[in-house]
Amino acid sequence: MNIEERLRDMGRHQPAELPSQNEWDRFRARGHGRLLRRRVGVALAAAVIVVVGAQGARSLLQEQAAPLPPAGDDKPPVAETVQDLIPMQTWYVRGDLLYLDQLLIETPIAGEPELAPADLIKTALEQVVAGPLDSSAARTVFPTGTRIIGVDVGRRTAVDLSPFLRSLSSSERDLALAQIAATVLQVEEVDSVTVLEDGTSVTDAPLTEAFYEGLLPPIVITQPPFTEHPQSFAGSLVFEGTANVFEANVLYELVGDDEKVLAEGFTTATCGTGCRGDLSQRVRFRVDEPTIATLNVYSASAEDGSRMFEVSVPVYLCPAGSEIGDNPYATCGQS
Amino acid sequence: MRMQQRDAEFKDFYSGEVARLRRLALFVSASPADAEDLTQEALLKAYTAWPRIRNADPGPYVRRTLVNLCRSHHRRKALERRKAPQPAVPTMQPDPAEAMRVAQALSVLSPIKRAVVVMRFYEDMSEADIARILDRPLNTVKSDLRRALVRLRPELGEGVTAQ
Repeated sequence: MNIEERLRDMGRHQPAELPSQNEWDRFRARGHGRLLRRRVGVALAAAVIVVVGAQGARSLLQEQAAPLPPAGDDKPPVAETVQDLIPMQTWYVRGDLLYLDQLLIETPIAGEPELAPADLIKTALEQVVAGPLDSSAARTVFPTGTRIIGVDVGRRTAVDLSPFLRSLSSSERDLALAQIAATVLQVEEVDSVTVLEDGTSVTDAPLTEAFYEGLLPPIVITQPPFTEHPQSFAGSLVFEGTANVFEANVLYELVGDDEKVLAEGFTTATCGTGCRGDLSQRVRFRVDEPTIATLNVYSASAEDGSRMFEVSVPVYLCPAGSEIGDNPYATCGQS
Repeated sequence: MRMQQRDAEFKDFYSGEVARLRRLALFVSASPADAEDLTQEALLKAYTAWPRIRNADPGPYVRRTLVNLCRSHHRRKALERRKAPQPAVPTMQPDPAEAMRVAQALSVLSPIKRAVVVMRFYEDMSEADIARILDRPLNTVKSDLRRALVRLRPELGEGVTAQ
């Protein structure tokens, strides 16, 4: 058999494989998410979008951080569960404010070493420094080529970067530090962050949430996550976040792909008009088949009622009673 | 373009192409761990560009995208490979021993030559189609193919019957 025949023979051995309905459903939802991200990125000129599965990240991080190998056992812990996705907040900049996006980090498959919290934080920080996946929506202020040299995770976390300050203005410097601080402080166990440049601290004191609170957009939605894999819901969803808007009033709507409004209403943050309050609201909906939709959360102008500070998050809606399963992203259960 | 229409059209395209694209990615990237991600990324790009490419032949578009992604992937991984040389070998059915020999041999080629060889013999495409998909002159593709085969002959032991 000559070389051409052997190469051809390799192809002839391959059986025809058709994708399963479930595989297609996952791809379709991911495609919908990408389209929506593009649309949202283009549509929001002044408002700020937000994102992230902070609660999920926190709970999963807690699970990841809890078990430690016994003393003397130098083997790293291995994952026992099937591959999953962990949402991590990644903070960028839009205009002169912070902008929240989400990075879904794949966990190892069963038998592979687990990801430690430091791995998750470092992965998120590397993305933050490099810039957002969807460049139409936001930017990073870090100069090209900035590297994360090391991350020491603890209650007082330290992040060491390659030199980055020299080319930044003072306002960009604050935004850069805020990007790092907000990304690290999504982990509840961390109280403060020290940012170093080649081993030397760049601030007099460690950074806390107070450092970047004034740089947050008026409305921040932390749940559901804003991602290429929209999170799936059946029957109802709960959105969470924070807001600092006039009289704490926040409006919302759930809009289907055909522009039909599936649900709408308003809620109130725990504080408003100059102070930031928490948001949490359940939204009930009814769909007959899996549907891609957009959750819009916004504030109404006191002057003319126009929408302000609108945040849009793609979601995947399933008929009531659907079993979402272990992976809540982009499926309505196994077909 | 409505999403339902896009989905209905793209589902047919996806079903007909995904398995072949997956294997193309496997051979061109020489990285079983990354082939699936590269395939999905190429298909996502085709999905988002669907209204623009649906009326032309979208097959070449998605293959060109996939090969470009594989080449970018190859460049990114080059430094890592220098540090820890571990040639990735795609595993295949139903004749894994022969497939591994061929895949191992293919891994000595550059990504673009690998793509040319895989498209020519594995996908049974004409040289003209390959030139169109890869946006390379026809004579360059012929030259790529000739040089690739010359390079592969000693690796595969030309004239030796498999198994």
